[in-house]
Amino acid sequence: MIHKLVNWRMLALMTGVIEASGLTKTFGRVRALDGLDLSVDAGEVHGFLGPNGAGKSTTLRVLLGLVRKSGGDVTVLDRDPWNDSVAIHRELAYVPGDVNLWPNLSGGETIDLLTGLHGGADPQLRAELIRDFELDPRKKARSYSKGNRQKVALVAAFARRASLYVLDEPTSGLDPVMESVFRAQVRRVQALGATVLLSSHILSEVEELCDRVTIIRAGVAVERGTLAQMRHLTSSAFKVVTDADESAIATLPGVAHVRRENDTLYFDAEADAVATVITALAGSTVTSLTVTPPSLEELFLRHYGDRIESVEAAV
Amino acid sequence: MRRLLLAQLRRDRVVLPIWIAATALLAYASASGVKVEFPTEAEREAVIQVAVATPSLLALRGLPDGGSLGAYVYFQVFTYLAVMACLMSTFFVTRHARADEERGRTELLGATPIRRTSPLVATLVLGVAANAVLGTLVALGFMGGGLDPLGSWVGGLATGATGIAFLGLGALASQLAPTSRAANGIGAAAVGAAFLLRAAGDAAGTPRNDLLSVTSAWPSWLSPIGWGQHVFAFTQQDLRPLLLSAGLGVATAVVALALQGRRDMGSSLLPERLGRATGGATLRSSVGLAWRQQWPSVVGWAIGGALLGALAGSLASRIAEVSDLQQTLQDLLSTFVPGGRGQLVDLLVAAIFGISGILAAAAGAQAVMRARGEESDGRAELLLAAPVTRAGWLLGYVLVAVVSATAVALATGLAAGLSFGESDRFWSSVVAAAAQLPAALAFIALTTLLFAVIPRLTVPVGWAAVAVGFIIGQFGGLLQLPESVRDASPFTHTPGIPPLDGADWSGAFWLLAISALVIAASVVLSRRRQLTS
Repeated sequence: MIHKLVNWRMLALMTGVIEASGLTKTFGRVRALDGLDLSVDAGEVHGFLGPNGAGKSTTLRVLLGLVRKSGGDVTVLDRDPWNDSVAIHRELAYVPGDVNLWPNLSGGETIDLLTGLHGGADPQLRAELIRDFELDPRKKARSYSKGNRQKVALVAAFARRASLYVLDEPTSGLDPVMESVFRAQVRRVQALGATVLLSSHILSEVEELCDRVTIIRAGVAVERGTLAQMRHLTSSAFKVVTDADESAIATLPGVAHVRRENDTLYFDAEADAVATVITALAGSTVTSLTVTPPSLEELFLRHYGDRIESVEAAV
Repeated sequence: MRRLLLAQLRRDRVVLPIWIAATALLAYASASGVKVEFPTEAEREAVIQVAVATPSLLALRGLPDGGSLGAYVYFQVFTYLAVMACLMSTFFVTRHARADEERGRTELLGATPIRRTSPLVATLVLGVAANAVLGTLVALGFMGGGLDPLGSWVGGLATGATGIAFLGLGALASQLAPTSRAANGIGAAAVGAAFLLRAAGDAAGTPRNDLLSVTSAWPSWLSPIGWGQHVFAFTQQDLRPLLLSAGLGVATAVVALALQGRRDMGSSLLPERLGRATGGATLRSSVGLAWRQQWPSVVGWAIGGALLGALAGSLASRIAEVSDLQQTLQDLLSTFVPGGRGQLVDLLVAAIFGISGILAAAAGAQAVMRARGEESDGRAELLLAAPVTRAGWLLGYVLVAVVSATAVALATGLAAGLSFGESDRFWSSVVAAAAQLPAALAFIALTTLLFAVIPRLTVPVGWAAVAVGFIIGQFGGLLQLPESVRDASPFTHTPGIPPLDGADWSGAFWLLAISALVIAASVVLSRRRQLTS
């Protein structure tokens, strides 16, 4: 126990629980990861976003040592995930994206199997989790729905203390009430000092839980940082009822997509350009001014593919 | 309805033809085989006389009715053709009824404008058609093997009709059982019961005056397979028993359709059993899980081995009493056994132990293949994300494989030894069964190597190797395969014949050493490869 505590402190002092740089992975001719950089600090909840097929699950499997990297550097808890997987797994809890269970084992048996391999669950925690997730542990896994299979994996992950939680779209089959139970668990383990890497599609979840996010696309990280930083990099939408000359606004640096509808002017301005825009508008009559910061959806969609751009172009 | 039929037919375009082709091939192979092995009526009558006097042979084969070629073939093979048709039919219904419901495909279909019973009706129509094709091909198989055309058609009809009886029973099982696994279990148990009832009835039957035919006792009349036998396709050609088969099929199908029309989707008459809320002591390690997953099949294989051993023992002591046939049978049996010539009893027992070796190899190979199933179904990912080494995980399955093979061999040896009724044969039987173990181990090693190096081929190549081993071991002599081909099978290198005083054990030790080495190398190699789906 003391050994574990010491270990815990040391981990908290280190930064970079997960460090990957230039990570590549090829399956035959398919390049699943193409020079991915990922850095997760101790004690943070890190969001891992990206469209389907971007390489999220492949990344997590490389981090777990289940598949071997083709190139680049990667360490998890300061160890090599392929050669030192067992040592890493001792301190880690994992929920796969597609939870497949042993059909003839009950939920309770599965939880005890998975936690037992780590040295056993905290019995009180296990009981609380089963109660909170409203899981019937006596049912055979064969008869569980997707959401219930996910709950089994989540209970097994949270029922013991780990220093790193790797969660691959863990709430994709859960209802909103269960999702809030999940969020409470993430906050609980973070308060205990654990690190969480959370791959997710649910933006409100990411917004609420994550300190920093990494967005990947086609096997490359295209955006990294806190949500505030990422917002700063993106334009805000202006809607101004004014008689100002639209060509004067359009020539300002950092302003784009200017158009006028009757007496209303619409345009996007980057964060650095806001001050000059206000100055330029000062000489004209302004009856109404609305500035909307980019929503996470917009941030997200910006990186999620050409689909959106082409839709915009069509508009 | 037409679309439903086509959709179900398309989904079954591989599985159903395989069942049908295998059954028809069995009909053809046994018809032509008997013609080669026992070309004259006198020889066939001689064998049947032994069978009539040997209840365990009757239980295993069926009801003899004279020594004509067709009657002999029908006696020898109809039971197995019927079992194939029955299993095909029940599994077929389950695939389209309970399995679809379990996987949610019925829900998708149920939302379309069709009746609640329509998918089941389509399945039953298709099932009847499949049995018609099966019956036709069995008839053609008989004719191709040189049997009388009329009798062949009657035999095909009896096979198809027995299958149809079980089509209805299978539909009923899908109404009763909560899962497709349980439905298949009920279906297979019904087929097993039909086999055992007629086995009991035939074994307890009374020989008629000519000593070439047997009147079965009443239990045979409780079994659809028994009804099919009583058609005596090549002699009496009595079609009346088939009315019973058709009646059973129609009655069970009607009940199944009535239930299907009334019950909620997803519900079943038998409730799903609940499991334990906590994991027991065995579920604390990956080896424990491997055992928990597989002990039922280990027990199943061991029971199979014990039945085979008991049969070998009782047959041998029986045959020792019948002396006039010994020369013919001895010639036949000696072709099964590599290299040896001994007493007839010893040869027979060795032949049956050869089969037990294959059972042990199959049980072991299957246990290793489970590891591949865990990997491809994504469950290994969950387990290997815990602090479990890949080598330790694989070794768990190899361990269960070795236990499984050993259990089969020992069960065979003990059962044979006990049923001999002569104490001096007991230990030699146990040793003879154990002598098969090194060869079984070689198949475990091969499957492990496949898993470590070319995981995707583990299951197909693993089974193919066992099948080739079986063919070389059992029919290598009969087919007069060249020595070099026969040497490729590990079973050629086991000491085959009890008593084993002078037997050559060097081959067994070599097999043991090579297998252990290959397993060790495979476990090391498996550490170097990543999970593949």
